[in-house]
Amino acid sequence: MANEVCFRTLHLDTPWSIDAYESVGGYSSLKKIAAGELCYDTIIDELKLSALRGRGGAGFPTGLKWSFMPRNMPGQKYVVCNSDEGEPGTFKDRDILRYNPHQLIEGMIIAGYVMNATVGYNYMRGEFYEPFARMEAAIAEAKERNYLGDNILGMDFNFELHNHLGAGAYICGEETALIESIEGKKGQPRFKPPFPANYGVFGRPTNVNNTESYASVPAILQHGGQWFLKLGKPNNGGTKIFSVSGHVNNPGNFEINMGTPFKDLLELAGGVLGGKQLKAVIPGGSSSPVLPADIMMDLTMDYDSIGKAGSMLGSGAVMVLDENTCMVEVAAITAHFYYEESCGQCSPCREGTGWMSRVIHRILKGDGRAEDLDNLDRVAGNIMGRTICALGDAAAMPVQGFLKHFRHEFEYMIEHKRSMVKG
Amino acid sequence: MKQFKQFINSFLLIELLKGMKVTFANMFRKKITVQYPEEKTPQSPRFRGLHALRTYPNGEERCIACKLCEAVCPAAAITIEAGPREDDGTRRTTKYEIDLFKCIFCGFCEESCPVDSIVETRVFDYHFEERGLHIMTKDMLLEMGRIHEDQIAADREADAKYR
Amino acid sequence: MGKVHIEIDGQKLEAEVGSMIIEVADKADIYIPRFCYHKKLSVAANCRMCMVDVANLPKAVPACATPVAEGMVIDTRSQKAINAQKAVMEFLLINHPLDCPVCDQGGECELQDLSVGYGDDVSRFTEGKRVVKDKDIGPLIATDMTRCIHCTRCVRFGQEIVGIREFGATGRGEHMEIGTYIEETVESEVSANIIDLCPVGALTAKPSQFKARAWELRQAPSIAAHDCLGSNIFVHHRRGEIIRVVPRENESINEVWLSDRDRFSYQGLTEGARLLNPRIKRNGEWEDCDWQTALNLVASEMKRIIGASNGNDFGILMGNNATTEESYLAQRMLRKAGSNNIDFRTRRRDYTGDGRGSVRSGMNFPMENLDTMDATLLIGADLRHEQPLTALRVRKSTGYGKAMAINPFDGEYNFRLSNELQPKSNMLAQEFACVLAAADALRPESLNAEAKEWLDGIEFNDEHKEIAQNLIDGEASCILMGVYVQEHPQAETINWLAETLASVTDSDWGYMTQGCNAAGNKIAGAVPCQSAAGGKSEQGKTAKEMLTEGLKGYMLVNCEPDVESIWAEQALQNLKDAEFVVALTSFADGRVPDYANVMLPIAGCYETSGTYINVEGKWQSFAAAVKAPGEARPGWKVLRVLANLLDLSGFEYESSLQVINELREKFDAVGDVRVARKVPPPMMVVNEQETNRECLGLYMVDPLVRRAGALQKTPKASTHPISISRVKTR
Repeated sequence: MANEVCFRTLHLDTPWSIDAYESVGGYSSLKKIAAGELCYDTIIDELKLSALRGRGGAGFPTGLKWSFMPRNMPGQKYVVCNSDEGEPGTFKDRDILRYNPHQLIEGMIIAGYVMNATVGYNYMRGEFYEPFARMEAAIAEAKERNYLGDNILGMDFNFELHNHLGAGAYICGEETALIESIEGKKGQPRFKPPFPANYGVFGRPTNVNNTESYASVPAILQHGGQWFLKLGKPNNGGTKIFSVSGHVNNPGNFEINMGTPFKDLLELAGGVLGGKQLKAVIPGGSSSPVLPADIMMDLTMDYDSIGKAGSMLGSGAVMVLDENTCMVEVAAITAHFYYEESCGQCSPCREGTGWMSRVIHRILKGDGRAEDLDNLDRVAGNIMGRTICALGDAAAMPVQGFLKHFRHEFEYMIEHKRSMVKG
Repeated sequence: MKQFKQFINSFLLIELLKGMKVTFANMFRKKITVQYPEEKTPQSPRFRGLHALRTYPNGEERCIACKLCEAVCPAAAITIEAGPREDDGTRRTTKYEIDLFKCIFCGFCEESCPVDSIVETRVFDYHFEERGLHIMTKDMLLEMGRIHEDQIAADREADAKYR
Repeated sequence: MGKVHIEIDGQKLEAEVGSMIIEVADKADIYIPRFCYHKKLSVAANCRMCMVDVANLPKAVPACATPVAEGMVIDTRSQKAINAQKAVMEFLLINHPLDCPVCDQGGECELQDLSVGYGDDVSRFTEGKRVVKDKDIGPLIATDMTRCIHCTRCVRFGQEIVGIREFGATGRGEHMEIGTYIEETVESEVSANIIDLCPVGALTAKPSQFKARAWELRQAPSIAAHDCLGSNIFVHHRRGEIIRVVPRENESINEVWLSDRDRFSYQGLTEGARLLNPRIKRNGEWEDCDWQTALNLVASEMKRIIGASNGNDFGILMGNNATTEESYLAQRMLRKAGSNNIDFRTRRRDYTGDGRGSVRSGMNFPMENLDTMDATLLIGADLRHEQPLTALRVRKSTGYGKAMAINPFDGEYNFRLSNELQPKSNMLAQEFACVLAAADALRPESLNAEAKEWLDGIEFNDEHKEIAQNLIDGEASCILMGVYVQEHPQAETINWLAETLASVTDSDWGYMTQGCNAAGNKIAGAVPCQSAAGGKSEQGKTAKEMLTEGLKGYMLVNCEPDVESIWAEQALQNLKDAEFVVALTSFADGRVPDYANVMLPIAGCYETSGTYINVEGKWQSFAAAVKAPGEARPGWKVLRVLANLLDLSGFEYESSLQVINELREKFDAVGDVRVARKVPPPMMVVNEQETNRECLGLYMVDPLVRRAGALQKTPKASTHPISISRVKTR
């Protein structure tokens, strides 16, 4: 079954309105909290039971993350939603913000309640004008019905939610860079530890989650953790929105159960464009290593299965590449993206991304040399694990992935100065 | 017996004949004497003679005042003062002097130079007529470079593959 | 704080909980390569050079940002660590120009040094290198931003230490550039410290640009001579020429920093026109002569004037950076010759405190303590322009403590003031008295009857009360008066108020002094009211009397009263009118030649041995770093020979060490005696005209600084309010 969690209002008219949301049971979890039926411990337990894992890419168990927040520490604490959806190929958060903003709002209010935080920030990427307007409208609606503001539903609990529009930097999707950006500084990741749970926005404890993670919470609390878990596989609970793009007939967002075979997802997306052969799939956004078709067709869409195959589920951006795609070109585009988006703070990433991008572009121009491939692999390896944030890894992994599975195409291009598939 | 032999030898002028043999043998050999200064012996491209400071073809001096030659000079013969050049602020020497009385022509300066500026030419015959002329100033060195540039360049070229 | 036990490279170490691996390693003398880490700055962890191998961790971790934990086993030289370090080195080098021969940092460059150990001999980078446009950030710092490796030490220095964000990073990734956002000059008075911080040659000193390589320089420890802190420095010189001055680490004084004034003042030695021979003015024309002739003339003129006036009409004025030895010899010579007219305080208006107070002037607590004050009250203290490094210390304390100020001017601070009062300049004492009254109300039991009577009728408001309360609440608190106070006509009243307030609120107190050696000059006895080490003396004429009333004969030791004193115009006239003026000076320019009759060339700063006593009473002796040019001789030698020529006994010194030891003995026998003032000084009413702020500008304080070309080109040289015309250099 599809569209059960984050997209559950999608079948209604004006799915983004508060009435539409309430008609599917929206804000019922919040009401349960107000009625005292749900308390801190039960919420955490339900989340742990549901096996909800962070939808932003890293897949950290959300229940565990929430329990790390020092909720009894005095002073201001913050709840931050990461809607800075910058990963190439990902566009799921945009649709949540556009079509079901209230579910995110409810998720964040519940997070605020659990963590004793009274202020929330929803950090959206700079290009999200329409979603920003929808969110603003939704917040106004929620305020009107006393879901937001002071003494929510008569509880001794206040929660303010602010939308914050970024300026379009990919790095601001990294949680600590996002925090810096909210503070008004240059978006550069901080060194961890200390983690945001101890030292976040303005130096206060902060919880940062992805839009989809927050939006899943109300549904979990409404139907129970067990229900959510059963939608997916053990340790990979619930549904997940996959943004399918590339060479498919019907690209778009698909909310499907975790563990659905890739074959079914491809079918949902209408199969490969023009009935061509599938060549490869980038399963989790541009930072995940590419997987060739033969490996991919046997996989199910969940964290563990794809992880075992040597890639990552990431943010669930499935990029489908057909037989006529030149992998060197794809690698060049990917490498150039990271070259442009590195924040420039730490040396390996700042210098390494530029190096990789230049070498691949040189190969593409026909000036490649035999030693370039080993050099590329070595440079990528040198960046890996030696940077403050994960962007260094994100830049290195796809390059290594392309080299691992499609080295022959690179070699062909170096030797013949033309593409193996395009001629 | 030994003494007898010696007596006979000296009586018969054997030693003299031996010596004359060498003399006559050489009399008909090709002469190796050169009529210096009209004639000169051949020199290696690595010959280490009088110093010169080279310039680029556009006239810009090569020396960047890194002072490595000054530091490496075992005889402390080189004295350099440096500073930003008046017109463009680039790093240049304001004074570059080699004391030829101190110089031992070891060639270290040439080895250390990162821009092939200070070189040793093939010039080895020179004299001073006045006290003080043994100090080669920057102008003298640059002039040397200009005069001998073709030879210097050819020598570097010839030696390039061994460096 | 508890302790943990760790092991680095097989060495078992004990470390504080929460300290980083690199700190522990540094303490144990285990070197971990680094670029962005600096012990005085926050941890940025962005260069990634300090990667070390920690047992049981999958990846190498940065030593600068990884806190130690019990039982940690760290290997800084394992294959994993070295691989990481080599990889980072390669990344740093790909865009760094390999132009070490033309780079001023070459030979003392951290990147160059480490690339020897970690760099590869063959470059695998064949793409084009990044080039960054150069910036012009003023006359002190030369930039070559292509060499920048983005360690952000300079950015963090501005942000954290100085509190003035002059530098920042713009752009992302490879396009990141360090710069001033918009094109502008770096203006802060401690800006040049980024030269020392920069691990590569991106930021270098402009005045010494391309002048010398690191390996040619000889290093001589010395003491900076332009503010009362006595910052420790190294003078770097080559073939007798001073090339640069760099800080010498001393945690209790200058930490690792140095103000721009101390760093670049040396330029004055070569940029000012040096006096190379003794000169005598004959018929209005200057003639060079030998020492014998000049000194004989001076001796006979001194004898004549002192003899004729019973010592009344001859006086000695000491300059701001006169050494303690010079002051001691000058006063001893003068007093033996029969006069007490000696003073160094050419900027003091209020002399009523003479004969009271301590032998030494200055602070009564260690400067280090300023770092940790819970409350600091500044009175008339423009720290950034007077003692730039103290401003950094006070700023440090404002991280958790409070800083308050009572200033009759707009003080520029690099920290936030919790309270600021701005009375009119002539009401400074009155305003301050309100704080004391407030403190008295909060702690009524501590003041004596006379003081209470004095305070009677003074009203205070909430702000005064808050300031007093802060001082009382602070576990460590202090009252610090600036140079302005010492120049104020009510200096003694304000001093008494500070001392009294300090005792009521249990605070420390002290005042900053003009010049680098006010404490030394006072101990040496170069004041009309006391001889060496607080010895008794008949009251002579003060600097004010000498300069405003006029004398027949003057001796100026490294002093230019026509510029330095408050009564510059009167002083100039009186010096011109005097029968005989002998100037012991290093320079032949300025206005000294207009009024002097004899000029004796003395060695300048760094050319003489001597001792400075700083504001906290630290005696710091130093040797000459370079030889003085021409016939110039150290001032103490000149004075000693002059004393011989005056037929005075007991001047058989052979080194400056003998002189200072003699003084030290006298001082140690007496100690820093304080004669507390029981009766409060009367509260005068002064008119505003007299108290208008006219402190010497940042780069005007002494003859040397006034001639330092690069400093005079900075914006700070002209923006500071000064009432005197600038001396032209060269």
